[in-house]
Amino acid sequence: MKDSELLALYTQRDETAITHTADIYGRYCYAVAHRILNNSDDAEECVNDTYLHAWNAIPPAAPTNLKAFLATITRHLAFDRYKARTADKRGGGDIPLILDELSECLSAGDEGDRVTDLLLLKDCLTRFLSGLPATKRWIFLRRYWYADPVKEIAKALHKSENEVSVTLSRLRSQLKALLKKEGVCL
Amino acid sequence: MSPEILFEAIGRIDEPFVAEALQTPKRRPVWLNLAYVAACLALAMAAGVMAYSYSRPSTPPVTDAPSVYGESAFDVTPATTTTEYPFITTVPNAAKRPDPYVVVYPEERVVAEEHTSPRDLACYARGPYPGECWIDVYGPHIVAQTDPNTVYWVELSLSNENGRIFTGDEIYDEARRLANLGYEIYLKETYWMGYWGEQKHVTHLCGYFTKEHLEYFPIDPSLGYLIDYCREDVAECQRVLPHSSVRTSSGETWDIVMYPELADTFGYDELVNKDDFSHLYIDAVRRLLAMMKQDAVFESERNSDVLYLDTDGVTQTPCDLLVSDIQSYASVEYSLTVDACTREQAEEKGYIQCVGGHTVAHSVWVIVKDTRVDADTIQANLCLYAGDRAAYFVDLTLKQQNNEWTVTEMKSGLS
Repeated sequence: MKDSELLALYTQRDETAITHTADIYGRYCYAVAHRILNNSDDAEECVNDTYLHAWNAIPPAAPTNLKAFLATITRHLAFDRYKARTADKRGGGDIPLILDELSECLSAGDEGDRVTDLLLLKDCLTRFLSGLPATKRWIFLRRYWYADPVKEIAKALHKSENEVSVTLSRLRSQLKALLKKEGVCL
Repeated sequence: MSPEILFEAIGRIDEPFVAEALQTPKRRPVWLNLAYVAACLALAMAAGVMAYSYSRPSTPPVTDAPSVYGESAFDVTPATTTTEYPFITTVPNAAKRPDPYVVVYPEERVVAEEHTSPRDLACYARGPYPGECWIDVYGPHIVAQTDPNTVYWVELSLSNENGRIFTGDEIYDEARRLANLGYEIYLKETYWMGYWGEQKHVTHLCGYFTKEHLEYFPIDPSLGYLIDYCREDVAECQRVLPHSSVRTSSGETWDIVMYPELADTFGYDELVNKDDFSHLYIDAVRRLLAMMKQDAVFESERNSDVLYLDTDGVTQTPCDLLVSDIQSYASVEYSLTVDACTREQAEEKGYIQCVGGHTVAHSVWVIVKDTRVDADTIQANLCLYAGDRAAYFVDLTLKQQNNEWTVTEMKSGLS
């Protein structure tokens, strides 16, 4: 079934849309969630929540890429769940490591307004990503959006893990410089 | 600010980025690496030059001088006796060699140990002084992997005591001297790109040299030498290049990467996946062409480029019109952001950055120049850049008919 047909089912409020979504994108969403949560039950719940959110969002939302749209919802939900869970000190796959890496892009400082920070960061990230060569952008997103392990990124690109790690390190430095320049991270 | 916020912000980036990352980038084919080598052999633009001392150690000073392009030291002219582009005249044996219009430039360069100064000619506003010999190496690992018998195709630029690059007939004395010493010497007419994208025609001294030749190169102490070179045994190029071949001194034939017409170049899919500015640049060229032709054939997964129109060079102001014209196509077909501003503004906006006089572009960059505006006609010449490489030209005529401006003529490629 094509995305356009699937979206039409959502628009018509046909509940089979969810079944079809699960058939087509269920495993993918599960993978996205599992990367962040590192727990099968949590990931499964997260995916089910994704369907509900998609059902509520479409319409009015009319995503041009349904897979990416669902992945975005899944990631948000999974990370929310991850944050709630960290209070219980339960691990989350590569996420602690990824957060550790991302902390390199930020300097210690006062917490700003969360919403403002998010908006500023999104704006900076958009420009940062737009200026990157395709492969570097892909590496950055696979690591920090999809939370892929470095090993898998390296395998996909036929590169060594070290090469990917070095690229990521440079990208973090570039991002840090941009954030500093923009005053997001003083 | 916590990393969690940053992670969350990354999760909120626009959907196209997320969608793009769903697809694994294509692996760059091996031939492309080799193609870059050959491409840059043919490209006589003086960029990416590594300085090193040949006859006596010397290190040119780093300056904040502007880019090489447009500097008086590089204000070049062709020799009078060479035939018109793209021919090459040999000295003493006549031969022809294509002077291709190359748009791909290697980002990666690995220079042998003896090339100790990783500096870029673009950081200098001059050529080498007498006694200096700067080396520009095309392609990765070229020198490190060669044996003493490997033959290089070498291009030489000469400069005087002021660091001014020799042009025109000035080059002949040295050509004759080297030819008389037994080297296989050629003259090649080519061009560099000026600051505004104009072509600066120049004659290069070329020849085949072994490493031993280079190590014992009989320099004239009154000259500075700038040497561009590359291995010739790029057999893989045979497979890639359909254009005229050149016989090498080892009896092989090989070709030069040529992309005279970008719009339908073979290997495009592979090229756009190259991990540097080239893909941005080629992508944007194609978009630009498609836009100008009002031709929606080209499809791209990328949709977040900024096409920056430099307005510095425009004395009259049709830029708004051009921008709106391009933007109208862009918004419909490509969601391409078009912005017009001066270089200064472009720096502020982060489209470009100047590092030691070297312009680094973070977006594709179009300079609008030589623009003429009449009541119902606009003629413009656009020059498209990525990084600091001038690369592609579009001559454009817009006419107003029934209160609507439409593109009536477009000539692309060589201006």
